[in-house]
Amino acid sequence: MQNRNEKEVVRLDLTREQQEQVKRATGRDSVALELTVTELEERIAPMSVDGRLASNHNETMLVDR
Amino acid sequence: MDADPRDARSREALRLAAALNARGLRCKDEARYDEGRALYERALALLEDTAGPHDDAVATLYHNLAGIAHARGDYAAAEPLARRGLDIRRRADDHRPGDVAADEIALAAILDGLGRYDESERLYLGALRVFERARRRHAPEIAVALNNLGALHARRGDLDRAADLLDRAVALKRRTLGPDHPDVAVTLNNLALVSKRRGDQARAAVLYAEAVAIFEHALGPDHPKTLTARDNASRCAKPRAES
Repeated sequence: MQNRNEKEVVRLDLTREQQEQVKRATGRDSVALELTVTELEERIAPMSVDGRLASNHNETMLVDR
Repeated sequence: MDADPRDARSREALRLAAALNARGLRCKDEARYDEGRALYERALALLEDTAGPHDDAVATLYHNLAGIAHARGDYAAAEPLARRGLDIRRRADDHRPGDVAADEIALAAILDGLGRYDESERLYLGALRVFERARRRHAPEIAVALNNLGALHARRGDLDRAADLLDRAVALKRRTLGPDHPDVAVTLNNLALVSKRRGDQARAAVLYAEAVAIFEHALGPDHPKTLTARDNASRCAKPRAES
């Protein structure tokens, strides 16, 4: 059973790490992916672009004490 | 015959763990640390049960759990998690040098927080040597290492070296992430503090203002990074009005 129209567009906001992965893979800047429900069903695979889990960065932010 | 050595249960567990991990990363970005940690821990339990304790994905989840503790400033809790992830990664048969180097940078940031600057610096420099071999692919990691190394030198009081590294980091981040990315604002904040300590109050005020504006737009007015940058800015002397 399909609950949503196949042509309906789903917007997926990307985390900063995912934006970086997209940038590295394609060279393009993107803050979100927009897919139809059909495209989404075909692409569901919540892995990083190279098939591994994505990891975070530990950035140092200085505090003026 | 299935080319993937993982059985169906393991593949499904990995898929679910990846979804939980992705949600955990978002929670960290949004400073929802308890929620992020719980998601990572669920993913970890799932994978340790199915893929085993030495899987590459298990290493990443320890790395990310350490990241939550780092973001909270709980460096003592972060260190064993980061070391466990790094140890698993190094032992993995198919580990990639870039992944190990990324773990080392994350651990270095934690050691920096603990005041162990020499150990931290060695890890940054070693990781940078690895990343420099594939500079374009690893530009985000190089930018993080330059930022963190710059911050480390600022803490040591080597302000000229700090400024040079932070200038390079902010240029690389602007080029690879865009000018309005919150990671750019992290480095602008650090550069502002270094400028202030070098006596350049005017430049510090400009840099802080830019950092606060980026954070407010990207993360909201109440995010911890916005609050930190705003508080730092408030300690910066206001430029004197022309009389």
